[in-house]
This record gives sequence, C-alpha cells and structure tokens, in this order.
Amino acid sequence: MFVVRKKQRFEQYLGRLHGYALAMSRDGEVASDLVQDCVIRVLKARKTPVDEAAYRAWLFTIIRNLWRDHLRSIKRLQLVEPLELCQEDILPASYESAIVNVVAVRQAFENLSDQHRDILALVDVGGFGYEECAKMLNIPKGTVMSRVSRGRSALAALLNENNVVAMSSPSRRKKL
Amino acid sequence: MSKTRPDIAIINAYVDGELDAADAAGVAEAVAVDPQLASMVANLHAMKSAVGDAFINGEVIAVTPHKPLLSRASVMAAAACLVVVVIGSGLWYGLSQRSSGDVITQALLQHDNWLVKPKAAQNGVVNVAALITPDLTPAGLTLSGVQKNIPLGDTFGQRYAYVGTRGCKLSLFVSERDHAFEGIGNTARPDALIVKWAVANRGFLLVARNMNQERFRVIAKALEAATARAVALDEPMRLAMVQSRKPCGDKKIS
Repeated sequence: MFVVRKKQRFEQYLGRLHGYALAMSRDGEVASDLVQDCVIRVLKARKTPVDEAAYRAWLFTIIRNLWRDHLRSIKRLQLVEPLELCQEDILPASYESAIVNVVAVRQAFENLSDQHRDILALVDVGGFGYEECAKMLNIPKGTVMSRVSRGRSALAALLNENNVVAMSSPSRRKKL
Repeated sequence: MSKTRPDIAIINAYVDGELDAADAAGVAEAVAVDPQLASMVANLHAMKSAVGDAFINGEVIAVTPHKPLLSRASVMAAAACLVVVVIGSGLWYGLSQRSSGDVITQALLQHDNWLVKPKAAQNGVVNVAALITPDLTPAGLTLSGVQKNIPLGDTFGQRYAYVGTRGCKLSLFVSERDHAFEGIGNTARPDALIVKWAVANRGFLLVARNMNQERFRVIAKALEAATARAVALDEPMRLAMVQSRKPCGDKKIS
C-alpha cells in the first residue's frame, strides 16, 4: 500500500520528468532509463519531502544527478563549460523568425551548451521558477536569470541558423 | 531599440512570470506600446512553449496554431443551444435575440491563432494605458501582445493576448462599441470559456480554453471591476487571482 502511494505520487510528475530527462540526454532510451532509475530511488527512499514543491524539486534533482553520473560513466562530462554568448552577440531580432517545430527544437537543443540546456530544461520543461532553479543548481537567482536569457538567445540563434519555419502568413502556417 | 525597452533578461523573466507586480506592469506597458517588443515577447513565449512541448508531449507539433475545434456551421449550431451559465453575480448580462455565432467564431479563431499576434502587432501601436493596463500577473498570466483592428462580428476591436508559464492562454477582446458583444451570453462550453461585459462605451469579451472555470471566473470578475473603475486591480482581487491559480489543460502538470 505504501509503495502504491509512492508510485501514485510519483506518477503525476512522470511526463515532465521524462521530458526533462529527454531534454538533457537527447536520447529516448537513455531518458527512459533515467526515469526508471529515478523510480527505483524514489521507491527505495526512506524519507521523501512532504511539501509538494520540495518533492518535485527532489525528483528532478535525482534525474539530474543520475544524468551526471551517466555522463561521468561514459566520460563525456565536459570539464570546461563552453563560453557563454555575450548578450550583444545575439540581437533581439533573432527571435523574429524563431518559430519552430518539435524536431527543430530538439535539434537546436542538442547544440546548446550543457549550461544552457540545463537551465532551459529546468525552467521550460520542468516548470521550475528561478528561485527553485537557484537552489537546485546552487547558484544565485541572478545567475539563473542571465542563463535563461542567454540560453534562449542561443536557442533562437540556433533555430534561425537551422532556418526553421518562419511565420510568414496564416496560409503558410496551416501547411505545417 | 528604444531607450526605455527593458533589458533582455528582464523580458525573459517577464515571460517566465518571475517579475513582481510592479515590474511586470512596467514591462506590460512597454509591450503595449512597442510592437517590436511585443513581437519579441510573443516569440519568447512561443519558444518557451515549444521547448516544453518538444520534450513533454512527444511528437506533437509545438507551435502550430490550433485549428478551430468547431466549424463555423457547428459553432452557429452550438451557439443556438448554448448552455448559459452565470459566472459570478456581477457578470451576468443575459442573452439577446441576436445570433452571436460570428463573434464567437471570430474571437475563438483569433484566440487559437495565437502566433498571429507578433505580425499583427506591427500594424500599429495600441495605447493600452488610455484604457487600463490589464495586469494579470497575480493570476500567473503576462501580456504577450496586442492586436489591433481585428474583426469582431460587425465591428472591429483589439485583443490583449495573455499567456501563462505553463501553457495557459487568455484573450481579452475590447470593442469601442458597448453593444458589440450583446448577443453573447456568458458561457461555459465544452471547448471554451467566454464572458462579456460592457463599460461606458466599450464592450469586453474574455475567452480561454482549457482553463479552470473558477480561475477564469476570478480573472473575469477582476477585469470587469478594473475596467469599470479604470484603475489597477485592488489587493483583494490580486489575492483572489493568486489563490485561484490552477494549471490549464489536461497535459500539463503543475
């Protein structure tokens, strides 16, 4: 009965957890494995956060740690974070045609730096606020804010670079 | 870029619903008078949604505008047999005899064609401040753009497009004719929530899909009160909006 309750509590976050794992790993099978491992850890845990927000953050932190362990195991962890793009490098105008479909977003996401992918996955996929992200990543809230901004600028630039679908007219959109 | 345009990090924080009420209202005002900024905000919203959808909802195309759930004919038929629900005691204006199908259809089309607004916003500047800057940040919704001169039945109006951080969308239509939405009853339909009211010489129509009905009711009530007095939302209203926050749709998890 206890296990069933644990599972039920976990299941409501399954979609976002899998989405987050997928965003980080860019591999459906790896994402499923990460979620599966997360389930095991949750079921094994003797104590779980009572507060729902803390519980959710705890789940995503498990996935994140599992992913980092996975990276270490295959020695892909980048020791040096790539240089962040300066804000001035990406003009706001780059948002103009950055309209996208699933495949394009996934492709572009794959080419983001780990840092940008990490923060956008937490905010846009996980649905976390800046304060929560700051705690999870152990960084100041202001850093979260600037990373989100730079991450989106980088994503917009990648989407424009890949020349995804431009929003030209309603008739064109209908063909999507 | 104008001198008054907020920093890009602030705009992102606005899109994420991270700004406090005063800052969010400042950005909302800037969005309302700066079509280029409105376009940027709209695209940031679209990109944010696209990222979420790309990884949460499988292979669903993320930013394709929704097709109308009902054809014009079926909407007309549906309009004829609408189940009228009183949404709040202060928001009931009754039904008139005039068919409201066209207005509802047009409003829903505008609402569904969410991504039309960046382009349309370039058509002209809308002086929201002359009316009121409808700040819905306590409800978790930010103003992402304004459309001008959109057809609404036999008249034209403006649309204020609001979006939440997790997929909620809300459209406020404003007509310079107080009788523009006369034929529409306040309704809870299977596919949309609709409420209308009139203040002085203006007609207002609020539309949302997949929104919690109580949340929608609170927002509608707050907007009606704010537009009636042409002032910002008072503290009890803001608190009610905060407390009524619920995720939209059945795919999103709060």
